[in-house]
Parts: sequence; C-alpha cells; structure tokens
Amino acid sequence: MSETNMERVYREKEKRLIAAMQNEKPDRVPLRIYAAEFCAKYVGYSIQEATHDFEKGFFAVRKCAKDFKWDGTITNPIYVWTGLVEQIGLKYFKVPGTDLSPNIGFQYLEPDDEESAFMHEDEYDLLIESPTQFLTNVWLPRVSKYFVPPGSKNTYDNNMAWLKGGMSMLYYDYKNNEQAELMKKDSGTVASVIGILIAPMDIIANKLRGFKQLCIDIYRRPDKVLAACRALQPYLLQNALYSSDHERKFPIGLWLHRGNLFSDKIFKEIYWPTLKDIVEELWRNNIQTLWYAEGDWGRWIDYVKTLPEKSIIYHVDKDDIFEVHKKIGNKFCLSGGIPNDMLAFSQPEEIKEYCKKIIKIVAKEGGYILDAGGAIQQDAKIENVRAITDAAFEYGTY
Amino acid sequence: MAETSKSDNPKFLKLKPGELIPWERKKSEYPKITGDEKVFEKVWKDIEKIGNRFIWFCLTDS
Repeated sequence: MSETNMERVYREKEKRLIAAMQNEKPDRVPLRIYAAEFCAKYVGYSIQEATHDFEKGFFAVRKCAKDFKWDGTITNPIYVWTGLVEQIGLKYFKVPGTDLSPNIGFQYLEPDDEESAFMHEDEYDLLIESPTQFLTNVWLPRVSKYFVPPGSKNTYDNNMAWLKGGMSMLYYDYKNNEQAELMKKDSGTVASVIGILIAPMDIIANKLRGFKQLCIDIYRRPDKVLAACRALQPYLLQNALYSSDHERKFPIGLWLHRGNLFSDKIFKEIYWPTLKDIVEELWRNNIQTLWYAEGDWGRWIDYVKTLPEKSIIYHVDKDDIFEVHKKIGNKFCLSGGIPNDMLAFSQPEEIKEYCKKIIKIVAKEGGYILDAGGAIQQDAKIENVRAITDAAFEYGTY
Repeated sequence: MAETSKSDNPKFLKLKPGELIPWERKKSEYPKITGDEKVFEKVWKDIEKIGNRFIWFCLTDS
C-alpha cells in the first residue's frame, strides 16, 4: 500500500523527534509544544469547555498542531478531564465553571492540616503494607464524595461512582488513542509523550499527606517516609509501564513537583534514590523518561547527571537553559527553556531572538527540542507562540 | 472524616503491583477446573491490570 502524503509528513516528524531525543542532529530542530489552556483560547473555547468536554480540548490541540506546524504534542492539552473528576466526586479539585470562573484553569486543593489530610500521620504502616488496598479502602473513600469504605453502609452513589468512574477512564483512554490517530491524519503530528510517572515523595506530598504535613513527617518519622516511598516504587513503576508507549519510541512523562523544595539531606536520602530506581528500571525496559523539571531544578543537576546517557530528556522550566546545557553537556537531550512569562509579556521579535540564541548555542550539536518552560496557558500571546514556529523554520535547519 | 479514617480490614492482602484480587484466591473458588486453567488465569489477570490501572489512575492522573 502506498504511503499517503500525511503519512510521509508523520514519518518525517517522528524521525526528527526521535533523532533529537537520541542526542543526534535531525534535519531541523523539532517543535514539541505542550500547550494547555492556550489551545482553548486559540480556538475560542472557554477553559471550562476545553477542560470538561475533552472532545473540544482534543479539537483545540489538533487545530493548534496543524496551524503552528508542531512536530509533536500531547493528545489532551488539559491534563485533567474534569468530566471524570465529577463522576468520582473528587474533592481535591476546583473545576472551572462551577468552583471557578469558566475562564480559569482547574486548581488542586491540597490538605493543609492533619485533620484534612487524606492519609493520617499514623497510617504509614497501612500504606506500606499494601499500597493498592490502602488506596482502595482508605484513600479513595476520603477523596471522593461518593465512595464509602468497607464496613460502611453501601449506597447507590457509591456503586455508581465505581461503575461510572471505571467506565469513564476506559472511554477516555479509547478516545485518547483515537485522538493520536486524528492528530496523525490531520497534520502528521506525533503524540510525543505517553504514560505517566510521579515521584514517590511527590505522591505523598500531593495526594496523601499534603506538603505541609509531609514536611513535619520528614523530621518526626523520616524512616516511615522513606519506607512508604520504597513501598510505592514497584506500584508506580508498574503503573508507568502499563501506561507507556508499547512501541518504546516516545518517553513517559515524569512531572516533577516538589523535589526542588526539599533540603539537600532529604533530597539525597529520600526523594532522589526512590525516584532514580524507577527511571533506571524504565530505561532497562528501553523507555526514556521526559524529566519535566517543573520550577527551578538547577541545584540537583549533579544528581541527575548520574542517570544513564540518553535515558532522559531533560526539560527546562525556570532554570537558565544555557547554564543547564553547560552543566549537562550532551549527555541528555534537552527541551524547553523558553520562559512562559516571555510568551505572555514579550514581543514576537524577542521570542524569535531568544529561540535563535537557544538554537545557536544549545541545539548546535543536535539533542534539543523547542518548547516553553511550562505548559502554555491562556496568558500567552498567540503571536508569540507563532514566533516559536517561525524561529524553528528560519534558524533551526541543520 | 473520623468514621472513614480507619480501614475495617487492617489485615491487608499482600497485593503485588498490578494485582487486585490474586489469581490464587480466585482459583480457590472453583470446586474443580476441568478445562485449561491457564485460560482462566490469563483472562483474570488481563482484567486485573485494567482494574488496577483505575485505582492508580485516580492517584497519578487525576
């Protein structure tokens, strides 16, 4: 069967991205843009529409990918589908259009005291004993308006939340796969991150104890925190492998949250070793990790540099990408580094000049992918996002 | 919150990653398997993975 024009475009984009991720020189610096609420703004949807009706979110990202000639992007621009959140009745979200104005992005609510923590200070052993059962029997009934714990009187809402929550996930997975195919057919754009990993200590901070409570725990019961992270490791690895690209072409997304906020001692003794093992195991399974270093991670580069060559794509958010490049050299592919505040406040000529500088210095020998520091939100100017594409085509050819 | 703060099943099953109800436990429910046990086991474990993904999806993806 002969190859269609769009199949050829897809193959070229895929080749370009893979070459850069392998630290090689592609034909041109790839554009792999992760745009979130920006996509809704570009097509004229409210944030609520794109967040809650994922078909609209999917359409918005396809339109952006086509118009801005992105080589790769993510299938769903907005990370959380609040339609599923509502089926389960998750309490830790503020949803645009109900809790928030329709044009504000969804928000996480984190437990800020012991009473509201989703895992209590004396429950580490229960988590360590059997993480999956702890989540099912204890954690989910606390974070959901509908789920009830074993032993409590059952309810119709509980039954429906389990049924509709599970069905929603399957439906969403099915539609995500369909979206990857539509991206390919519409514009040859590649779904360039597949699957999810969160660091064990971030999981405890984000969803179980809350960051404030965790900061107390690391002084009062550091052994329990370490043991809990160790207990979570094989489960997070399993979840990462299950959700990853089965063709092993594109990386799994590791969204790093709190590692940059801990002391040297805590990072060295808990955060780093319990994360490193998982990333190394993924690499042994031929899966690269997109090391999405949210915030400022510069102080931990010496640790990250010990990971196997090419095992990660180091994504730069708020660090100076030129400094990161100096320190990492060509050990890993780099991505990102275009400050999001520039996308909101600078002029297109400034964006182009900044991209030109990155291309000239960081991408000189290949191994670089153009992207903003963080997922692009609705504050970015459309002409500035277009300027990234212009820079790639004007200055990025090898 | 107090009523839901403790599991009523403190003696948790030792569940391996990807497992919700171990195959050995399910197998013990059959009085006798007259056919191919591996067919039952494979299908049981395939669905286990999807169910397990839902629990961990809630934690990591939502």
